[in-house]
Parts: sequence; C-alpha cells; structure tokens
Amino acid sequence: MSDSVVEIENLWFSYGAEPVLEGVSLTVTRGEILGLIGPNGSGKTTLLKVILGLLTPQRGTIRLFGQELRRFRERARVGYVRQRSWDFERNFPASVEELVRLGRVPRLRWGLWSRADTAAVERAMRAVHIEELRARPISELSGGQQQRVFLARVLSQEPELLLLDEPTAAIDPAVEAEFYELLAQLNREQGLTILLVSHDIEAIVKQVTKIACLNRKLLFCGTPQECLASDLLERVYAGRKLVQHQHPWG
Amino acid sequence: MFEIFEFEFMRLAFVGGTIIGVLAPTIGIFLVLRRYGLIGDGLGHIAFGGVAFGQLVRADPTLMALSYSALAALGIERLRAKGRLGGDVAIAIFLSSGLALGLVLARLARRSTDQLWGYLFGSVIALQPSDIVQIALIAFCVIGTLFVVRRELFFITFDEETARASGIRVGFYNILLVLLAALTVVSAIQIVGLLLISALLVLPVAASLQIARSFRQALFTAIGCSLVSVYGGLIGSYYLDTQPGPTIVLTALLVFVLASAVRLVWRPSPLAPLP
Ligand SMILES: Nc1ncnc2c1ncn2[C@@H]1O[C@H](COP(=O)(O)OP(=O)(O)OP(=O)(O)O)[C@@H](O)[C@H]1O
Ligand SMILES: [Mg+2]
Repeated sequence: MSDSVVEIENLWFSYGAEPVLEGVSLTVTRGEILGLIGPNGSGKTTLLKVILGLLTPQRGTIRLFGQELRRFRERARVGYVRQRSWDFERNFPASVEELVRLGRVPRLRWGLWSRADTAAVERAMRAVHIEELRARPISELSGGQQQRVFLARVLSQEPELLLLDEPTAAIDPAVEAEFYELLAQLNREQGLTILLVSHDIEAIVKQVTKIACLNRKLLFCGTPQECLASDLLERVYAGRKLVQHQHPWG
Repeated sequence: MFEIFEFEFMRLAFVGGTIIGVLAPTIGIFLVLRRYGLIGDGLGHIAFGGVAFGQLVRADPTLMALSYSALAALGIERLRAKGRLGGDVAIAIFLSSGLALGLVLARLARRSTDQLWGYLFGSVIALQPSDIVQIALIAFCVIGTLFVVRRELFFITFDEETARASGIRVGFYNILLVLLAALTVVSAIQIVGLLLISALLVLPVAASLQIARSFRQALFTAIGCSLVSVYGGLIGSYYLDTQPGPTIVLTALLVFVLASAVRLVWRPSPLAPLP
C-alpha cells in the first residue's frame, strides 16, 4: 500500500501541435495540501483535467491511489470543483439542496438514496453555512454563495482527494479564511489530500504544505518557505505584478 | 358541461392527451435545458425522410421513420458533444438535410409527398384504442427510464464536465436521452401530430422555468401546465369548433404568457426598483 495519492511521471499533453504540459512529474502524498500556482495559460487546469481523466495525455503515466489511471474506477474518491463553477446556464432551475445532493450521485449503490446520503448532504451544507439557503434557487444567489454551494457538493461526496481549481476566486475574505480553515480541518481530521490551484499566492503559502509552480514545465516543487526564499515568483511573474498595481486612473 | 365526454373520440382524446401531456414535458425539460428545444421539429422532419425511404425500398414506414430519426438523433448528439456546434445548429443541419433527402427520395419513389406526410400527421381526436395502448406503452418505457437515470441526467444537464469527472458515463446518458426523444417524437407524431408534440415538449417547460425554484418544481409545474393546456385546448376546440391540436398549442402559449406575468409580479427582476 503506497502512500502517494497522485503520482505523475513525465507527463506530456497538447491540445494541438504545441505542448501545454512538458514532461511534468509530480507526486502528492496522503495528507498533503499542495498549492499549484503559475501564470494564466500555464497548464494548471489542463493538469487537473488530465489527472481526472477528462483529457488523455500523449505521454507519461498517472497513478491515483497507486492504481493506473486507465484502470481507476473509484471516481467517488476524487472530488473536483472546476474553475468558474458558477458559470452555468443562467436561470437553471435547481435549488441549493438539489445541487449539493449531486455530490452523492457517484456514491449511490444501485441508485438508491439512503439515510447516510442525507446525513452527508446535511454535514456538507453546515460546513459551508448554507443550510438556510437550501431551498433557494441557485440563480438567485451571489457568486460567492454559489461557490459555497459547489464546495458543499464536493464535500458531500466525501472524497479522499480534492482537486480545487481557483475555489476562492469569487468569495469574500472572511469566507475565504473560513474556507481555508475548513480545508485544514478536513485535512487534519480525515487526512483529506488536497490539490489547490490559486493565483492568490500570499494566501496559499500560509495554507499549504507544499507548493508546485507550473509553466508548461514544472518549475518548482517544495515547501512554501523554500518557494518564498527563492527568486521563483519574480522569475515567473516578472513584469506581471507591475501591471497589476498600475491603475489606469492613476 | 360534461356532454363532451359522451363522445367516444373525445374520451379517447382526453386519455391520449393526458399520456402525451405527461410524457412530453418530462423528457422536454432535459431537452430544453440543453438547448434541444427544436428537436421535436427536427426529428419530425427527419422522420419524413425515413418514411420516403421506406416507400422506395418498400419497408414499413413506421419502422423506417423510427430508425431514421434514431440515427439522426445520434448524429445530432455527436455534433453537439464535439463541442464545436450548439445543439440548435446540429438540429438545423439534420432537419434541413433530412427533409431534403425525403423530398428527393419521394420523387424517386414516384410518390406524392402529401401522401407521405399523412403518416406523420395524426390528430388527437382521431385516436383508436390501439393508439392509446401504443402510446401508453411508450410513455411507460420512456418515463420509467428517465426516472431510473434522473440523477445522472440532472447532473449532466447542469454541468457536463463535473459529471464526467465524477465518473458518470456522460456519453451513454446523452445518447440514451436523444434516443428516448426520437422514440417519443416519432411515435407521438403519428398519433397526435408534429405540431402538438413539438409544442408540448417545449412550451410547458418554458412556462415552468418562469416560476420554478427547483428542478423538481420545474418538472411538476411543467407537467401541470401541459395538462392544463391539453384539457383547456380540447374543451376549447369542442366549443369553438376549432382544430384540437392548434387549440391546445395556443392554450399552452397562453399558459406561458400567464406564467411570465406571474414571474413579473411575484419575482421582480433584481434591476427593478423595490416596492
Ligand atoms: N480546449 C482547449 N483547446 C485548445 N487549447 C486549450 C484548451 N484549453 C486550454 N488551452 C490552452 O492550453 C494552455 C493552458 O491552459 P489552462 O487552462 O490549463 O491554463 P491555466 O494555467 O489553468 O490558466 P488560468 O490561470 O488562466 O486558469 C493555454 O495556452 C490555453 O490556450
Ligand atoms: Mg485554469
């Protein structure tokens, strides 16, 4: 029984002619919180999709929980919240509770809903404080509230590995802090392994146990301290930070 | 008031209308939400191509219409799943080519097209007891299947990518849905006509989407709107002496307008000033 939850070896992927991932090797071990950073278009989302089996790499091997990805069938063990998850059909008729219950779909046996499923849904809603919103239509919530609904969905799935693509991009600082606290708690108490994509580098260096920096190639993988001590961030984001701080209105 | 039920054809129309009235919005809600609102029209016209082909090769027209539409439904789904075209464009491509092919084949078979269209234009007041049995069986199969796979379909309809990441076999369920749609449409057009089935797939759902606050509510409201339209339309057509199919469709339109009005009053848009 190996302790690595995700093992990626020499992974190559391209959508067309030009490779987006070039020889990426990365291991995430049980109980780790890995922060994945990198500039726009650096292949972060692509990497998550390859891990999930949504995209097939041209080269390289991936193992989830020690099993080769192609043979891996226990999808329910892997939770995923995609980037811009609030970007769905406007006015889609769905209540908060109906969407949180979707997290249980991969867990159902013979499609039968049990009391344990209801309990998991309730726990998940409580964890992100959306019990009061349960009957509200998703289209009537704010972006941040919607994001919490999608987090509750993935929590109700009770995954062992959680892949989050910019999960805090739409939520306010208070909820964001609480959200990281929740992830830390799940990580401590249940040994949940987390792979988190974020652009908020300052926030995630405090939250994660390991940082990986991607720009088509894996440029760096180490502790947050090592990351901050190196000149990595300046190299990767060179020129971009400046732009961010320039306001056109002076 | 109840004299209308003294006629056998009216009693059959109410029974048949009830079955179609429940069946159409139940599958229609999944179709509408993935922008397949025109699939009823599309498959209807494609079925015409199938009937014409059946004439040419002397095969059973119903069987040909069904297999033709099923193939086209698979093609439509494939085009949409590839992601380059929306469902509406995919349907439009198959609709026009299916119709064109039918017209050419009919000429080759030396048949008049009027006669071929006859296969596809049933009327809700010309139902036979055997029609009722047939449509009831189909409704039972389609609704039963939808019930079994409702959670997966709902998940896929809301967010296909996340559903796939959760291990749901998205391709399988999508194909299942369009095949059920083809079965529903082709059997319903022969019994109640193209106009009625394509309208009942969409209009009651559109009405319910104005007011529903959950998927469950949307489904049941759509069925409710659909039945109100069928009953209202049948009764209206009897007393006004109008054609039943179009009268039902106009009633469904009225229901939609009412639902939109309810939305304006009951759920003011966020931009509207608060009272
Ligand atoms: N479906 C697609 N087809 C073709 N190219 C794509 C597709 N999706 C992404 N790409 C390309 O692959 C590269 C990596 O994209 P990806 O979405 O993985 O970046 P990212 O690191 O997640 O960026 P961001 O920070 O903006 O989310 C980009 O150059 C993008 O143009
Ligand atoms: Mg991304």
